Parts: sequence; C-alpha cells; structure tokens
Amino acid sequence: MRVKALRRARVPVGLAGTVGVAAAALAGCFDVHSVDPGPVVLDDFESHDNRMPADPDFSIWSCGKYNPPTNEGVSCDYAMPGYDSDYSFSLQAEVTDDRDLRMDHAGAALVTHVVGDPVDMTRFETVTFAAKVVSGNPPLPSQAQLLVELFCKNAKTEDGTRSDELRVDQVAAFKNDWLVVPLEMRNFTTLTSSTHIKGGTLACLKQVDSVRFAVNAELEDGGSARFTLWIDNITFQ
Amino acid sequence: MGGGWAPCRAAETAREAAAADYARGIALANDGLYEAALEQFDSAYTKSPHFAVLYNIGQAQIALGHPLEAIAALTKYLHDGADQVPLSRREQVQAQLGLLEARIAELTIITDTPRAVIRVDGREVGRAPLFQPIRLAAGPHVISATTLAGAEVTRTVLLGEGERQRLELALAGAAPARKPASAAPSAPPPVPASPPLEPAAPPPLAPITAPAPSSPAAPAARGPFLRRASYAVAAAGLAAEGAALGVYLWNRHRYDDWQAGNAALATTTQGSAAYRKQALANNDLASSLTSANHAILGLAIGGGVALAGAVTMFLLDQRERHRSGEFSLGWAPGGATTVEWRACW
Repeated sequence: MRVKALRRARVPVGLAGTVGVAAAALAGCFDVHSVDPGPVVLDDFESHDNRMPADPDFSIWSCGKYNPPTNEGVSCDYAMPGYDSDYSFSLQAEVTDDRDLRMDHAGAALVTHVVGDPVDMTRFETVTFAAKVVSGNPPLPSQAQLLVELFCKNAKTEDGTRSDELRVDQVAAFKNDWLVVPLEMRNFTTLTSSTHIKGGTLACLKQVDSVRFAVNAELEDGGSARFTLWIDNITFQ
Repeated sequence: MGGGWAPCRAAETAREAAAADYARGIALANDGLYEAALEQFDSAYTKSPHFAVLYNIGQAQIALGHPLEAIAALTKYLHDGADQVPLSRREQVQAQLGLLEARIAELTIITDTPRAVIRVDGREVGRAPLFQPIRLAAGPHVISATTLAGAEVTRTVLLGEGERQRLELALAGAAPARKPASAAPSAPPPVPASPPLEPAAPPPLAPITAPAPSSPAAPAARGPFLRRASYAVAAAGLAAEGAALGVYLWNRHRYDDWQAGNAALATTTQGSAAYRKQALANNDLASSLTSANHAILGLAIGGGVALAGAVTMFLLDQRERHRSGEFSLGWAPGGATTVEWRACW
C-alpha cells in the first residue's frame, strides 16, 4: 500500500520538482558577471569637466611656479589631442632663476589636491601617466627634470614638526613626444626634498593629500626657459 | 433473418430505457442523491444488465454505507466485466473491495435450541445451528432467535468495523415474547434467568460497548492534521515561489540596466575614467543581481521542496483516507466501462 502510494506520488512530486527546477532555471536568468574596472584613473581629461579630475577624491587641477612661487607666466588648461585620446592637460610656463648667485631650482607644476581625508597610496603599486615636454625659447636645460610629487602635509618631520612641503617624489623620464611613464610606488623617496619625514616614504604614501607634476628646469643662476608640459591618462594600479 | 430483428428491437428498446435510467442515476449521484441514484442504476441494470452498471451500483452502495451490498456489486462487476475492465479500474475496485472487506464484521450466533429461526435486523438468516458467522456491516444490529414453540429472545449488538463477535442466545425457558437486550461484544451474553411470560422484566440492558477503534481509525485521526499541514506547507511553498517571482520581476529592470551598461563598456576605451566609472557601476549592479539570483534560487528551491512535501503529505493523507474508508466516488459515465446501450448483440 505504502509502495503504491509512493509510486502514485511520483508524478505530482515530479511535477513539483519540475516547478522547482524551472524556478531555479529562472534564477539563472540574471546572467551577470563582473568586469575588471581597470586602474584607478586620477584623470584622463576626457570629461572636459571644468578641470575636475575623474577621480572624485581629487579637486580641480591648478598650476603655478615655484622658487619663487608665483602664478605669473604660467597657464594651464585642457589641450588637444591627448595621448591616444581627444584631450590632455597642458601647462605652459616661462621660468626664471633669480640672479642671486645660486641655483634656485625654479620650476612650474600642475597640482590637484585631495578632497577630504588623505589618500593611502600604499594600496597601489604603480602610478602611470603619459607625458610630453616640449622645450621653448629659451629652451630647457638638458638637466631639466620631470618630477611626480606626492605631498603629505599631515606627516611629521623627524623633529616632530609639520610642514606643507613634506613630500615624496620620483623623477620621470620625458621627451618631446608622448611617453607613457610607469613609476613604482616603492621608488618614491624623500631624496629630492630638503626635509626627512618621520616614518620615511611609507609614512608619506599613507597620507597623500596632493599630487603634483613638476618640471624642475634646473636653470643656471639668472637663466630662464619656456616649455609646455602635457599630461594624460594618470592612473594608479 | 426476420426472426432476428424482433428480439434485437426489443433489446434495443430495453437498452434505451436503461440508458435513460443510467443517465438519471449519474445525474442524481452527482447531486449527492445516492439513494435515488441507486434506484436508477438498479432499474437500468434490471432492464439491461450490463456489467459496467454494477460499478456504479457498488459506488452508490458505498456512499450509502452498505458495504455488503457494495462488495456484492463490485465483485460481480469484476467477475462479469472480466477482461473488459481496464487494469487501472480493476486495481481500484480491488482496493475498494479490500477496504470494504476489512470493514465487514462477523457475528457468530449460537443458540441452545436447534432449528430456532435466526433473524438479523428482522431478516431471516437461517435456522440454528448456524455453522458460519454472519457477515454484517458495522453498527447496531438486532438479532433474534425464535423457537418452533414461539419462544423468542432478542438481542441488540453493536459491531465495530472488522470486529468479530460471538452471541449466545438462550432460548430454553424463554417466553414467547420479544425481549430486547443487548450483548456486550466478545463476551458471553448476559442472559438473565428471566421468568417466562414476564415481558415487563426484561434482562437489563447491558451497555453497548463500542469496540476499540480498529486500526484504520488512528490514521484517520491523523488525516486532518496531515491534510491541513499539506495545505499550509503548500501555501508556504507557493508563497516562496511567488516571492521568487516577485524578486525576479523586481530586478528585471536592473538587469536591463546592467545589460545596457555592459554594452556601453564594449564601446568605451578600457582603462579610461569613463570605463572605470561604468565598470564600477555595472559591478555594483552585478553584485546586487547576484544576490537577487541567490534569493530567487533559495526561494525557488525552498518553495519547490515545500510543494513536494505538501504533495507527499497530501498523498499520504489520501492514502490514510482510503484506508479509513473515506472513498471518493467515481462514476463511470464514459470510458472503457461505459455501458454500450446502443449496441445490438
């Protein structure tokens, strides 16, 4: 009797099972998958959005000269074309080393500041960007440098004081045509800056508040130079 | 040739009349008027005996609580129908017969006076000694024994389903008058030494003891619980399936968004900010939709399991109901067992 009942039960139980399987198949309708979003893009300048970087953690791009610091004789804006794209960002500057019997390391730079809390850059292994530096008249000296500088004003110096100038940096290769430059985070150092950071490079990378692309003209005392820097596709990986 | 037509026409007329009775019987049975339906089926069978009508007679007898008559009709149905009865119907009827037989009680009647007329419910069933137990339906029955001299003893017995009882009727010295009494089941009848001709002092009525519930009664008690549980579980299963469908429908437009985003990614430069932005948005959607998939899957499988469980419980309940005698009546207005009234044989 029980066997018969169970045999009879096969069909409806099978039907219920079929319903379940069909429902399970229905569940598979959302055939979705994730994609690799790629590197964090600080900016590729394609949005043309009032100098706002693509990464919302950063504020608008600005430019200026340093040693001495001034906004005169320098300008920056979106430029065409970009590296394998429509737009890039360019800096045009004329820098002069004041005649004071010493090299002032005058230069000009593009900078974007972090919005809100400092960014921990140690989660990235490399920063990559495309750059092009075209010398003008007077030309850049051959020893001119392209620097990538990561500022960390919340870090402390070895003597425990704070400074807006605390940073780690790295020299990047450049030429007068587009060059994609990958820089490893571990190679950022404080060697080119005048002060040492308590905790070293790592302490600075953990609390970066500004990213700066600087052309250090390395002019002789009293010398001057004109140049244009193009930057594009700045990514962190 | 001509001699063959007249009987054929007569038979045809009888079949037509029987067909009408049969159709009325079906209609009455469908209305729950089993007594009237039985009359129509009996009439149809009388007018044109066809084995298939016996099936309906049997079902009507079951509905009316006449297991003995049902057994008789269904047994004859299987016998007369022979290989014309489809296997499935044969199995069903055999199952019914088995259940009906299990409900039949047997009463062994013993008297101390040979040749006493034994009556059950007023119907003579033989003269003492009866060599075989009387098969009776469960319920109260009036048993009487009457000697040739007119002395009579009457007892009332209550038979349970499948119960076997023994009843001893002492007629020696009994008055020729009716003395209703009752007998305790499975016990010697309390026949008091009533003085003759004293109908005013009948033997005290022994309490009619209901027999212990027979085995099918227990599952029958369990039946409603199983049935209700199956409904509840089925409702839960359906709710889960409905919820799965709801989650699916709720997320469909999001899936459309994901697909659109995916298509947009294909046309966006990989590594660009736009690609990353779109990819991150799409990945968020994908993550959410994956969660929805899990929810749908869980609900669907849970619902399916619940439905399967409900069906199983329902079938078990059906089985118990069958075992306890709660037949569902099945009439035979069509199919292989249909009465071929129009045939002329």
